[in-house]
Amino acid sequence: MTAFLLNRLGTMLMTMLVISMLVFFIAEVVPVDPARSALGPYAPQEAVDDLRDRMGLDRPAAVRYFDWITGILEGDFGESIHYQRPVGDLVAVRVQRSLALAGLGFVFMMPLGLALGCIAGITENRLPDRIISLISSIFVSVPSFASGIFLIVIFSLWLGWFPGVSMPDPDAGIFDAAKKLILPVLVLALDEIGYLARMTRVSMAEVMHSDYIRTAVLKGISRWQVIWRHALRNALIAPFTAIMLHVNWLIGGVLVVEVLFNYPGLGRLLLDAAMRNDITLLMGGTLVLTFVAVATQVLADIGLYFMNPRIRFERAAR
Amino acid sequence: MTPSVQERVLSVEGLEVVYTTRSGPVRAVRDVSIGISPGKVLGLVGESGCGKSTLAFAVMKYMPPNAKATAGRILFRGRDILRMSGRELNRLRGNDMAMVYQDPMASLNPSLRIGPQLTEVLIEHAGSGAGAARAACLRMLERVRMPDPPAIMERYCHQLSGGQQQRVLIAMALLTNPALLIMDEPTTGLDVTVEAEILDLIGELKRELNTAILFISHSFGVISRVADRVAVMYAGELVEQAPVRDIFRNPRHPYTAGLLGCVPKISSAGRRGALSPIRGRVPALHETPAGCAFASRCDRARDRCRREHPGFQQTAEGHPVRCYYPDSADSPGLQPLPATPDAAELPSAADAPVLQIEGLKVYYQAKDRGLAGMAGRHRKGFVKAVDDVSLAADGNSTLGIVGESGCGKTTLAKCIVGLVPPNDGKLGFAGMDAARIVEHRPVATLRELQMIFQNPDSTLNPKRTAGEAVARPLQLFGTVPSTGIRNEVVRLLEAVRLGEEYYDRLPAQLSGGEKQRVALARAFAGRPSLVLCDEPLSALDVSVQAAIMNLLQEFQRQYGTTIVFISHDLSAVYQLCSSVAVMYLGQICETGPVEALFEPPYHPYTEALLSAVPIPDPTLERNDIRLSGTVPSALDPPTGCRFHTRCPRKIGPVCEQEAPPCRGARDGHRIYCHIDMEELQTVKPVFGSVE
Amino acid sequence: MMLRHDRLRGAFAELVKTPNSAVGAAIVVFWILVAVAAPVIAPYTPTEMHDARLEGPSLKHWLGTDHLARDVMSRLFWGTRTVVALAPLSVLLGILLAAPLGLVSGYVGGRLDTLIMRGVDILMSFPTLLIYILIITSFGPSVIVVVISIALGSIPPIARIVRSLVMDVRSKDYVSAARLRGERRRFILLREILPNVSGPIVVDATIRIGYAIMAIGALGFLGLGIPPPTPDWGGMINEGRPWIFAMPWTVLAPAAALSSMVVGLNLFADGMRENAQLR
Repeated sequence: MTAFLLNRLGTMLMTMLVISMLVFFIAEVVPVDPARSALGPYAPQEAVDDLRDRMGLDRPAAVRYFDWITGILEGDFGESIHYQRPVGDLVAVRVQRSLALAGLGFVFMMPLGLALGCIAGITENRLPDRIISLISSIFVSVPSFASGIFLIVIFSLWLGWFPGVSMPDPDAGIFDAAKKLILPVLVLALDEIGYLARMTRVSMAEVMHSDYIRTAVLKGISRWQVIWRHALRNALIAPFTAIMLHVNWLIGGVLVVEVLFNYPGLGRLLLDAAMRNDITLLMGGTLVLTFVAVATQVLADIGLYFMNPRIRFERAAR
Repeated sequence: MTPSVQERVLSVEGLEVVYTTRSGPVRAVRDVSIGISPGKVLGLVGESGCGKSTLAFAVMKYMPPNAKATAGRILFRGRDILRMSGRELNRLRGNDMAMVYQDPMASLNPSLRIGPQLTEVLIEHAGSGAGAARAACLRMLERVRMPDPPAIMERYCHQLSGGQQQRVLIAMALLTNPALLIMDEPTTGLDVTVEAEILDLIGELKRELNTAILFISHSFGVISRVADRVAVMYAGELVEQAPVRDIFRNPRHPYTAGLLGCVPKISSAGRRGALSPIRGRVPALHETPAGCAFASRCDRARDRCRREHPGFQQTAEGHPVRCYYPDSADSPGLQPLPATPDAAELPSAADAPVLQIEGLKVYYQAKDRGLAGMAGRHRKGFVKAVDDVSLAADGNSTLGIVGESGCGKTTLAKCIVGLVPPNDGKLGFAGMDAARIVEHRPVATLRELQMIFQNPDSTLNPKRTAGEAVARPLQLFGTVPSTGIRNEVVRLLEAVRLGEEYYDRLPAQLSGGEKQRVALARAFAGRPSLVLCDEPLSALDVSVQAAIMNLLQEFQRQYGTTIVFISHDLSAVYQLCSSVAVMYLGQICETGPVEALFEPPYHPYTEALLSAVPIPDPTLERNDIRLSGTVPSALDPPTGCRFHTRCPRKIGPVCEQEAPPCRGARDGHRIYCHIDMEELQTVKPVFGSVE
Repeated sequence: MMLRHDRLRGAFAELVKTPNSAVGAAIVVFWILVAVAAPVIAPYTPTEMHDARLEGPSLKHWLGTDHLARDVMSRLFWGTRTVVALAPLSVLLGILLAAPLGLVSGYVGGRLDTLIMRGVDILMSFPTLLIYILIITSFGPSVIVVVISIALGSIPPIARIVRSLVMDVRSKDYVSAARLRGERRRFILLREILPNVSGPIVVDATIRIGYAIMAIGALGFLGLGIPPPTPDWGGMINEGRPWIFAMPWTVLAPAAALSSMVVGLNLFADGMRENAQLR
C-alpha cells in the first residue's frame, strides 16, 4: 500500500523533472538569442543586452537550469519579461480561474458522459444506442473551437440567451456570472462527453456480454439489479481510467475556450506569453499546467487502485 | 400428455433454434426432444458446434438477440418456458432451475466478494434476511467441501483456485434446492485431479438431492462417470439416446460408435495400435444436406441416407437411434484398423539417446516494476518453473511428459527447443551441447529440432497461405532443391490428408484441425530428428485428436523421428508414448517405460493422477485417490519432497525435510519418493479391477 | 499481385457496406476533390482583394468577403488544400518516427523497452497543445514547424499502440516457429510481425489524421498556425472572430468545413474497425 503510493509519487517527481528539462531546453536552449526574440527585431541593442544580463544568458545552460529549478522549488518562478512582475503571482491568480472552469466542465461532463455511455452499452445495437453513438461520434469529431463558434452563433447571436464573452465582472451578481459561464462550460464538456460516452459504451457492452453478467441474469434477479450491482462498477473502471489519462485533452480545451470567450485564465495568459515571446512566463505557466495534469493522473491512479480489487491484490501479492 | 411427461421435471419437445447471421439463418438446434426426471442425470455429449450449449441456454431461455426458438416447446414442470414473461422467468431462474458453466473464473463477478454474490440468491428468491442468508450460504459452502467457508465469503474470485471457484458456483446453484440443474462443461479447463473431485461432488449431491441434472460435456470419460442416460448430438440433432451402459457397450449410431473409437483408452488389456478417426468434417449448419447429416462421413451410408432424412428408430427399450441401419453398428473400433502395427511394432527404444537433459533449471524472475525495483533494491523472487530435471529420449521413440497446469512442462519444452534459456544444467542434443537460446544455436541443430504448438489459431501466420508456411522451412534448410519445393509441399500436404487445393488457403479459411495438420506438415518438412509437441491436441475435438495422433505416429514411422509429447491427457500419452515422465511443481517425480508407469509401483502423485483420469467406461471400478489442498506456488516451493503438502501417503517429517531419493526399478523405471520400493510395489493397481 | 489488388478492392467494397463508413468515405472524398479542384472551382484567388470588406453573401461572393475584402468561398476551397496535405503528412511523419520505437520496444523488450516506455509515459503526461505552443514559439510559426510539432506530439501514443500490438503478435506461436527455423530478426520483424500489426495501425492513423486536422485548426485558431496570407481554416476562424456578431458566415463556414471533415474521417475509421472485428 505505502509502497504503491511512494511508487506513484516517485514517478510523478521523475516525470516533472524530465518535463522541466524539456521545457527549459525547448524554450531557452534552442533559440539562438532568447533575449532578442523576446524583445523583437526592432528593440534597441542596449535593451537586449540588458535583458541578456538579467536573464543571465552568458552562463552555461546547465547552471541556468539549476538556478531556475531551485528557484521554482523555493516558489520563485522568475520575473515576467512583459509584465515585469513575478511569474508566480501572475500564474497564481489565473490558475484558480482555469481550475474553476475545468472543474465545472468536468462536473457537467462526467455524469452525462457516463450515463449516456451506459445507456448505449446496455441497449447495444438498438435504437437508443444508435442515436447516442451517432451523437457522440459527432461530438468527438467537432473540435472545441468549432463547437464554440456554433454555440456562440446560436445562443448569443441568434437567440441572445447568453453573452459570447465571459470576462468576469467583480460587480456582477451570481446569476450573471453563471450566465456568462454556461457557454464556455458547455463547450468544454461537449468536447469530452463524446469521448467519455464512447469509452463507457464499449466497456459497458463488453461487461454485459461477460460470463458473470450471464450468471447474474440466470440467478433470476431483476435487470435493474443486474446492471446496478453487477455491471456498473466493472464497466466504469475502463472509462474512468481513460478520462483521467485524457486530462491533457481537457487542458487543450480549456486553453481554446479561454481564448474563444476572452476568459482570463492561465491558458490565455500562456498564449499571450507565447505571442509576446515572454519566455519566463511561458516556462513557468507551462510547468504549473503540466503539474496539474500529472497530479490529476496520479490521483486518478490512486483512485483506481481502490476501485478495482483485482489491481489491489495483484500489487499486494508482489 | 403421457404420464411419463408429467413426472418429468424438464421435457423438451421438437425444439428448433435458429441464429440469424450475415451468411443466412443457421439452424443450430433441430428437432430435439429430451426429458429428465427428478434425481436423474441426462448426459448430453457431442463435439464443438453441435448445438449442445445452445440447447442448454435455450432451456434457461437465455439466448443472444439473433437467436430464436422457431419450433417446439420446453416444458418445465409442464409449463412452456418459451412462453413465459420476464417476470415469470426471473422467479424460476436461480430458484427452481439453476446453471453451472465452463470457465468458473469468468462466471464470478471480479469486483464483488463471494459472500454477497451467494447471499443475493437467497435474498431474492427465499426472501431471507441477511443473517439467515449468510448462515445458509456458509452451510452450503460446507456441503460442497470448501475449506473455511467464513473466509471464502470474504474473498474475491481471483483469490480462489479454479476448483474452488467451481465449487462456489455449484453452491450458488444449489442454494435454493432447484428442481433442475444444468451443467455446461463444468469441468472443462480444470486439471484432472480437480475435475475428479468436482465429479465426485456432483455424484454425492445427486444421491443426496432430488435434482434433475442436464450434464453437458464433450468428453465421454466425464459423461460416463455422472450420467444415468446419455444423449448424443451431431450437427444440431440428437442422433442417439440410451442408458449410459448401453451407449458405451452397444452404441448403435455410426457417429457414436465412431466417436468412441477415437478416444484412446487406458486399460489393463494393453495398448491398441492406431485409433480410427472419423473422416471429413462437420457440415456447416446453414447448408445441412437433405438426407442424414452424418451421411458424408459414414461408412454405412447408402443412397437412402443421402436422400431422406432419417427419423428415430427404437432399437431396444429406451434406446432410440436416428439411423436407417442401426443394427449394423459394431462395437468401438468399428473398422478394421488400417495397417495396424502390434504393440511390438511400435517404436522401440533402440538407438542412443537423441535428447539428454541433466539437472536442468529454468527460473523466471518474479517481476517487480516498482521504483525499488528500478533502483535494484528489490527482493529477488524466482519462479522455479523447472528445477533440476534430468531426462533422456532415445532415437525413434516417443517420450511423454505429463503433469497438471503449472507443473513446468511447457517451460521445459520451451527450454528444450531453445525459446527460453536454461539457468543451469546440461542439455545435450544428438551429442551437441544445446543449452542455449535458438538465436545462438547452429543451423544444423535448428533443422533437427522442431515444435508443434498448442493453439491452432496462433500457430500459423494469418497473412501467409498454408503452402507458404510449409515451404519456408524447405527453403531455409534446403531439404529439397529449390525447383522441387512446390512438389514437396504438395506431397506433405497430402501426407497430412489435405489436398493440393489447400496450398493457397489462408489460415482463416481452415478449421482448427486443418491448421494443426498444416503445422504438423511444417514441423516435419525439414525432416527433423526431434519434434516437440506441446499439448497439440488440447484445443481439438476428439475425432480430430485421433486423426492428429495417427498422423504423428505415421510421420514417426516414416522418418524415424523422436517425439517429445507434452500433455495433461494421460490417455493420449498412453496411446502415443513409449516412455513417460511425470512432473510436479518443476520436478520429475516418476519416469519410465509407459507400461511400467501404468502399473504399480507408482509414485503417489502418479497414482492420484491415474485414478483421476476419466475413462469412458461406466462399469469401471477404481480405488479413488484424491489430493487435498491446492498446488503450492512455484515462487516458494515446499521443502523436502515438493509433493508432501498434498501426498496421501506421506510417511513423516522426512518428507518435509529431505529431497526424496531416486528409487530404480526395472527398465529404467525411476521413482523419486521416500517410501521404499517394496512398499510401493504392494499398492493396489488403479486399473486392477478392469474386466 | 493481382490477388492482392482484388483483396484490396474486396476490402473497400466491404467498407462501403456499412452505412456510416460509406457516408464518412463520401465526405472525405468530397473534400479531397475540392482540394484537387480548388483552382478550377474557386471563383477567385484566395488572396485577391475586392471592393467591399465584410460584405454579406451575394451573387458575386456566395459566402461574402472577409475583413481584407477577400472572397471567403475561395479562401475556404483553397484552405482545403492546406488541411488535406498537411494532416496526413504530419501523421505519416509521426508514424515513421514512432513505429520503429514501438516495434523495437515491443519486440526486444527488457531494459530498452522499460526505458522507451518510461520516456513515452512522461511525454504522454505533457499536455499536447502546450508542446505545440512551446515548439512553435521557439522556432517561429511556419508550415514545417507546424507539421513537425504535430508529428512529435503524436509519437508517444503511436509508439504505445505499436508496441502493444507487437507484444501481442510476438507472443504468437508462429513467431516462435519462425525463431525455431532460425529466421533473422529482420525477417521476423518485417515479414512475420509487421504485416499482422499494419491493419490496426492504419485504422489508428485514420483517426489520427482527424486529430491532426483538429490540431492544425486549433493552432490556426490560436494564431500560431500557418502564417498568413496562406488560406487555412483555423486561421480564417481566428481572423474572422472579432466580427463574429456582424459577419458570422466568415467563421461558420470554415468551422463547419473542418468539423465535417473530421466527422467523415471518424465515421470511416469506425467502419473500418467494425469490419476488422467482424472478420
